Amino acid sequence: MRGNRDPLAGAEVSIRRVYAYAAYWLGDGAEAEDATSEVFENALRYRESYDPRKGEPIAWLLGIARRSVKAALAARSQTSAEVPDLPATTDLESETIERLTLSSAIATLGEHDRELLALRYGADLRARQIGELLGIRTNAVEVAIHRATARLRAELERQEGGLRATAATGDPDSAPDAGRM
Amino acid sequence: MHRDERIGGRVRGFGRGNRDLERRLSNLHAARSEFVDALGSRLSEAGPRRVLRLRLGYAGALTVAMLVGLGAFGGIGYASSTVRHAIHAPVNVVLHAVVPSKASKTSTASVNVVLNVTSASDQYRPGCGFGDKNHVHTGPPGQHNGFPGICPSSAGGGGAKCNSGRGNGSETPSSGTDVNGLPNDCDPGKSGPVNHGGDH
Repeated sequence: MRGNRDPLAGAEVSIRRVYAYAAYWLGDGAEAEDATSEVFENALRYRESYDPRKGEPIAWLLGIARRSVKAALAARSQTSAEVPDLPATTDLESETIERLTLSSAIATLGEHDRELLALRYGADLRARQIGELLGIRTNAVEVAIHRATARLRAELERQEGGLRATAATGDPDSAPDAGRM
Repeated sequence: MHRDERIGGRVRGFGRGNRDLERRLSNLHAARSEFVDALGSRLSEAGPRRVLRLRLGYAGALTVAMLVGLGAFGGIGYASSTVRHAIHAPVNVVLHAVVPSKASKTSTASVNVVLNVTSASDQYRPGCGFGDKNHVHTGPPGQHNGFPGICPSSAGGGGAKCNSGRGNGSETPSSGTDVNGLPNDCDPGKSGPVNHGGDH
């Protein structure tokens, strides 16, 4: 008899969290959806191997998601160097710009910072859960997330400053990101 | 200024602006509802089926284990003989017989003849004339009085063959039988003196 909890119970919430995590790395759209589908296909196949003593279902799912995202990024780097990190089309221009700005700022962060932000804000994990997943202490996770967020904020301010400068001078070369891409 | 110091300063300065950033980060990516619904329904279709398979497997394994346990201690033979008896006893109570028709001597009619009122009375028949009609002897050794199947002459049966013993449903009733399918001579109510030859 199965003595463990079903890791796929309440799947809708888990799908949203796994998708948000994948989208942090792959961007919104088909690629993140494919990765999420793959995560749940694997979860379905290996659901019997889930052991609740080793962590919560979402942590188990995100363990699978991390591998799927890594594989998707590796496949992407082999096929093209482009970063299709565009949010879904929306009529709200300002929201789109905000999302684009935030996404591009996140893309400038290091891999560890991105992973922490994806797990904390995408997958909505607590510091303790992230610590269990990454094998680091909870307070170390808290500090690392704080620093990652601070770096992101600095980057956003830098980008916003650049945009203001561009708007003031009308010269796109004066923007801080000019020549970087 | 050193980068870490700058970040440290900002960390200390975190407040409302940081909460706003956290909110923006939390809402940055949201899955489409159609995608969530489609994947969710696919999972819910796959889930219960697997559980059902597990339950069926468990029930099957439990059945096999019980059969092995019963077989090891002779329970299956005991159970099958019980079922056999349960089927056999009513057959002895009601006998399906082919008897000559009253209308024509050449034709026959198929009738159900009640041999015994109950299956118990089939298995525990009255003795050969022992006891009175209100007093039925129910079992050995009083029934046979040492003469299994043959009524002793002292019982008033005149040595007639009695319908004694178990599982005797194949006998065809004749004109000399009573409603219970016994020879009249063996009917304790019809013949012989009252002679308690056995136990009650």
